[in-house]
Amino acid sequence: MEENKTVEFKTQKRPLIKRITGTSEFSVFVALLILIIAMSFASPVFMTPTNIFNVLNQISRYGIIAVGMSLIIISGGIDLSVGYVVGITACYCAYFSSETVNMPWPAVLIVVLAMGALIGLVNGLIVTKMNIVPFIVTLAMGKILSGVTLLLTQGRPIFFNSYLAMLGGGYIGAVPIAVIVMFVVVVAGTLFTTKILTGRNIYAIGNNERAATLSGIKVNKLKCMTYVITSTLCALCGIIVAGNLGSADAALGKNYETDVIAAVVIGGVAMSGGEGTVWGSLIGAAIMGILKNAFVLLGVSAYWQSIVIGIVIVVAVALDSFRTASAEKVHRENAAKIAKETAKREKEQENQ
Amino acid sequence: MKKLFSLLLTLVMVMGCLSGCSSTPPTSGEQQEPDEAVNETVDEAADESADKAEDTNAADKAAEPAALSSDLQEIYDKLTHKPVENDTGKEFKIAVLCVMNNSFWYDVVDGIEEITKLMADQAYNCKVEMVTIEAHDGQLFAEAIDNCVTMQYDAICTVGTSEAIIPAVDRATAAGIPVYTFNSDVKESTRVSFTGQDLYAAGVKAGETIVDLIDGKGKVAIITGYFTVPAHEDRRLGAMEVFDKYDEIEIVGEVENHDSNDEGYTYTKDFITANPDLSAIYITAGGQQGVTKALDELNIKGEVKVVMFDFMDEVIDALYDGSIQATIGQDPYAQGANPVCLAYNQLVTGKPEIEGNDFTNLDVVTPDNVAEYFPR
Repeated sequence: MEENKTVEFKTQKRPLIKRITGTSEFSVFVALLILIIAMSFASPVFMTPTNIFNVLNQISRYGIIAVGMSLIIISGGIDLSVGYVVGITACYCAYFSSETVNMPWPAVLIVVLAMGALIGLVNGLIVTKMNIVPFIVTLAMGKILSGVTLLLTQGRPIFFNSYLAMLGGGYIGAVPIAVIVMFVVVVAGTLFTTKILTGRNIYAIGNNERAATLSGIKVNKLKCMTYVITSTLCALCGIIVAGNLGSADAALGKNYETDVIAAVVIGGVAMSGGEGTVWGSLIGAAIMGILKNAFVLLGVSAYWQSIVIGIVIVVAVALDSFRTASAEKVHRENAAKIAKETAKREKEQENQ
Repeated sequence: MKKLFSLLLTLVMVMGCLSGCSSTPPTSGEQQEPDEAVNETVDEAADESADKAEDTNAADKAAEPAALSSDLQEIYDKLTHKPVENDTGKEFKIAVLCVMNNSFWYDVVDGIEEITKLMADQAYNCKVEMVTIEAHDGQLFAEAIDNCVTMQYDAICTVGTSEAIIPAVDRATAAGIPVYTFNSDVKESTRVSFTGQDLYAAGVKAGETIVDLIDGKGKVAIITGYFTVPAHEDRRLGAMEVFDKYDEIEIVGEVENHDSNDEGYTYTKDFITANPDLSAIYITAGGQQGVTKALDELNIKGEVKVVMFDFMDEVIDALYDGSIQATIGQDPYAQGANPVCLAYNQLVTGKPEIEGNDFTNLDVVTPDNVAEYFPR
């Protein structure tokens, strides 16, 4: 019996520290740390508890939606309707809770979350059954939802007073409840994508949909599920935002999709699908939130804010592309090495 | 199935292109009782600065038409400009382009709807159609104006939302369709007249009010709606002209909240976190409720002086509970009704009644006089 020869590859048995530092999330985490340290020196109020919780509260709305958006983008899709779902669910939450309808708060919670899930289901079904690109489907859905919101509100804010407002405006000690909700959602999302087979299968779909289908993964069902999860999380965010203000109007949620996608991309999720983590998206949301906070604390002109955020997104994507290219280069070198070793062994066998 | 859906979508888009401006006015939700506010101008400095081309024909013809019903008579009596009787034998068609992104516009729409009812009377024989635009987007307004020209409206009344609409306004004027602006103006265009607040003067007034409230010293934060909307910019720059005269006033930030309560709330909290000794916040446009909510949460009602615009319910509530120290009105009802009336009069008489500016009242309401304006 021939001895089995092992060929050592660069990627085998990498030290833990290298495995951690080799991820895109690590580089984003380092960027976040640098930003926090820099802001601590630049502004004396940045690291005060008040400001920290303010920033976390602001991050919470994008962070919650970013969990869902991560799943969609990892599976190879996109959802441009998230902001509009936030708007319509916030307005319906306010409407159902207002004196006009006066539904009990548990019923409002269930109905509004179900509304979000239904919108996601419609998105998912159109994308999977009719095979229309998600960009178009969700863009169109957003426009429809925007119109429905205006029909409901007639351009006026809807005020309400309900226990549901605690989700957005309540505190446990000094910690906003919205922040706690965000962390619960992020932990749940991380566990789903790392420990549960269904969550892992989303990566397979994003990597190679055909291969995933052939290996028995229910691709359409899973893709649909990502849209349902995202829109449900948008509904949760809508309740939080409405609760924070004690009212909702048609302008709520406008342009959220831009910031959420930016957060997800900065956090290391690849737009091509198949890569990224939920907790990376949280880091991306944190970077966006701290940048916006920094603009006000440092008195940066509003004209520069969009420019800076745009540059941050481009740099994050460029760094990720560089890291991906480096990883691909290593893979190609390994493959070449395997081929060379295999050819050498075959030649030795022939000579024997 | 996919091909069929794509074909249906294409058909819908083509039909949408062909429909143009011919949308029916939106049905209102709760109808607001028109405020019976005192229309005396408090600030004598806000004088009209433009030339008025007085049309003697229009003055002669502005007699009350015979036999208006009681509700139409009520509307007629409220108007600051009176419509002349239509003896041309022609039915006129006027388009009104309006944005509805916050509750301020409800009162503007109230004015538009009432003048629409009045104009429909046989004495005037004029059809007024409102087109709602979803946002302060110059491109959307420009396209709507071009569509209205295609639809052969006799006159167009529009929010002068941004300089981007100037070419479209000029095209309409060149096509023989007079254009009237309201709420926000595009002075460089060929529009006939502008109905609205003397925006720069309103900004100056707001600045002076803040200076009085903070004794000429302290930190001030400015939250504007959009940097690209002329009305918001004029109010901001008018106030800045006042602040620049005081060395002890420091502007700690100028941000745009896109008329959003959510963004107004976030920015207010950040400003106060960054500047615990903040003296005043000046809001030039929408999002007022978000600002007052943030101040309420931080329990500093009254400590930070707040000056804003308009008389929506939530603003009046804030005046009564001391969350804000002053709000400046701009008569949204007149902004809705006046341009239509002026456009109609030009169509009938052939000459514009007013060229330039038709400034509305600049009422300043404070907690001291709020009960006179809005008794409860």
